[in-house]
Amino acid sequence: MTGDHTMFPAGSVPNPATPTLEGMSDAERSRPVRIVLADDSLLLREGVARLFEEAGFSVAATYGDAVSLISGIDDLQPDLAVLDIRMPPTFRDEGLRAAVHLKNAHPGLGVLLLSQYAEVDYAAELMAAGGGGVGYLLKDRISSLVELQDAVTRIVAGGTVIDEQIVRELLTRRHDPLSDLTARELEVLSLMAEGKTNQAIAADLHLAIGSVEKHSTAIFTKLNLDDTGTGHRRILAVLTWLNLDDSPRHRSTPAARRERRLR
Amino acid sequence: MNSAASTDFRPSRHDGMVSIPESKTYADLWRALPAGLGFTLLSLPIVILSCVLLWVGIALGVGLTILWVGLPILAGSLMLARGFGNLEILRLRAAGMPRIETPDWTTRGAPAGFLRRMLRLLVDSRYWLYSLHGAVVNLAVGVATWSIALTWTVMAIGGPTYWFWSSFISDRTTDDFWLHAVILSALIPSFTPADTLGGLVAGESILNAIFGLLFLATLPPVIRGLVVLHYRFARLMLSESPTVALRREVVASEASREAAILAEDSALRRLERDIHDGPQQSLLRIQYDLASAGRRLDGVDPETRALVDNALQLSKDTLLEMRELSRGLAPPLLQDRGLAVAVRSLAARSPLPVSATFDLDTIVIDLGEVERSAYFIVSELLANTAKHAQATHASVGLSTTSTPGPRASGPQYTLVIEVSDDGIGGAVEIPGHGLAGLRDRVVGLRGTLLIDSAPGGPSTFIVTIPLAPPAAR
Repeated sequence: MTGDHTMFPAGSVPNPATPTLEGMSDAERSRPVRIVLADDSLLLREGVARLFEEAGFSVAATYGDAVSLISGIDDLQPDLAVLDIRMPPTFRDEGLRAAVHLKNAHPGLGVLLLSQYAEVDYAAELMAAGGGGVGYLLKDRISSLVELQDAVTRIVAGGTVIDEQIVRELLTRRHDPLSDLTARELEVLSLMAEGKTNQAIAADLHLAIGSVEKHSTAIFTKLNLDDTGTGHRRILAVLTWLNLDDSPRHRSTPAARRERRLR
Repeated sequence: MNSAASTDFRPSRHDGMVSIPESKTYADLWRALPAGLGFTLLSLPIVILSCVLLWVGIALGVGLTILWVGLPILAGSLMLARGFGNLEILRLRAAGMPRIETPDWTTRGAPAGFLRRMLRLLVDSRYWLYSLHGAVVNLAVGVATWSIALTWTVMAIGGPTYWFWSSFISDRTTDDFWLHAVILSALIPSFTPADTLGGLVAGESILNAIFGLLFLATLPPVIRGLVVLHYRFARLMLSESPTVALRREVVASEASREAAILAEDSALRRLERDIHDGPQQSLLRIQYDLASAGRRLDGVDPETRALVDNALQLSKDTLLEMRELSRGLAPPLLQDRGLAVAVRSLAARSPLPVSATFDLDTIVIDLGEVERSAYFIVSELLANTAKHAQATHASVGLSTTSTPGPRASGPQYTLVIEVSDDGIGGAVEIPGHGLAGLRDRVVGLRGTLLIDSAPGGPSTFIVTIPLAPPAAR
């Protein structure tokens, strides 16, 4: 699975080669994915770390807050950073801000955000932070090993993972234009929005890859979108169309808004 | 001033007609006499002084207004009047009268330079009222009461002691006018006055003593009456207007009601945090461990595996319930991301299509504790619409407006919530039901609720909530 990394937000650094599985040597490929993890609750830290280990990944270090994790990245050189969103000091969106920072500072690093509830805005900001190699999942989701393995593998390979709960919430918002799509097309659209590749979609829905590609073209035509291939750009296009980044219009920058949230 | 003479009378704040309790014994009146005498007898020099100073000052000030120097002189005289008024109130207090609430002299408004403050003082009617009291009214009252008090006291003391001091006055003869002889002759036809001087003096002494004792006996009530007269005029002209006092009470009670609502909001937000941190996290951990346990039992012990799976499902459901609870208390998104984002999420979750627009000037305004209430107001309105309006579409609009506030204080910010739908209308407030409860909450926040929902037509609900100015936080 290759990722399309040619779309960057203005001002960000072009990323070096992401560790894609094809680019790795056999030795590298067999080495387990190295993960670092930050969550302020000891209970959850232990639980999540154990799940990752059970899934066959290697947890290099765990931290109680975002700052420690960020400082530990350089030494440990992990493949993936997993962050809780609500962490000290203000317990609002530290994890999200750390994730954005990490994507800018270490473009090759995969970042997975875990949250107790699915909120579309967080996913939007994460998506905007960097091209590919990001994920946003509900904490409930990872109790299923299969989903966990799938998500981690996709992120580390440069793909994007968006929790299906988010996609569901997005879909329920659009009441009109989606009625143009057939039921099958809607299914394909949902899976695309979750970040899955055509191959994965074909596997999930038990279709041939050819029909998935046909559906995909149809969807893009009906929604009047340019077909931007696969990968991050496509997901972004779909999610954008679904108004993922439709932030409420108010006269302030996100940074200023967050500044004021620090009460 | 004998403080024992002042039985403390505490008038009620709201009662415009403060009554001085009349149920006092004669002994009480005697106890209050020294203080009363001190008050009335000192009145004359004080009122004369105040009258002269004030008249001179004001006349000079007014006359010299053409030249700028008149204004400060005038202002100074008004301040002097205030001082005399305060003195009068103090003296009345010392004489045993109830307290008089003086106006709150602090001027609200932006701090201003000397000139502006002086001008403000000059147009303040309370100062002029005080001047009128000190220069005119109190003069008349003071002179009158002083005269009466003096006379009465002299009679009360001099009468019974006539026999003593009469010997020091100039010689009298038996042919002089003797009052007692005249009175007795008129009353008793067969009366003949005494022949000797001694006898006449004795008779006169007796008469004077009788009169004197009468005066003495009535002295305490009279003095008290004079003091009360002063008090009435002082209360009339120098006290804080009852309207102002009432307004202060209303503001205080409104503020305390608002504080209660905001305290509830803050408590519920803390509760949500506690739930998030404690039970929810434990439930998650339980899920992870049960999932792992289930996997280990897979194929090995299907029965136990099934048990574990049930437990896992139960914990997932419990977690969902807790999340709903959290939402009902203080939605996490609201706390983390603010009102606009939370309302948009509300709109998205509504069963009918809801569009949301925002025009919140969050640079200037921090919504603060009002956020939670605003969120639930929107939630209630949308739920109402979804349940009853049979609409196909609804819209929510949040905006902040500012109107210029009272002179010299900052602009007044208001949060405006507008929810409308294209349904069948006919929304009414029934006590005990949703809309009435909404109005209670809105009123508690000192806001307003407008309902435009004629039967058949579309409905619009507009809620406005005043916001505290940013500086206050």
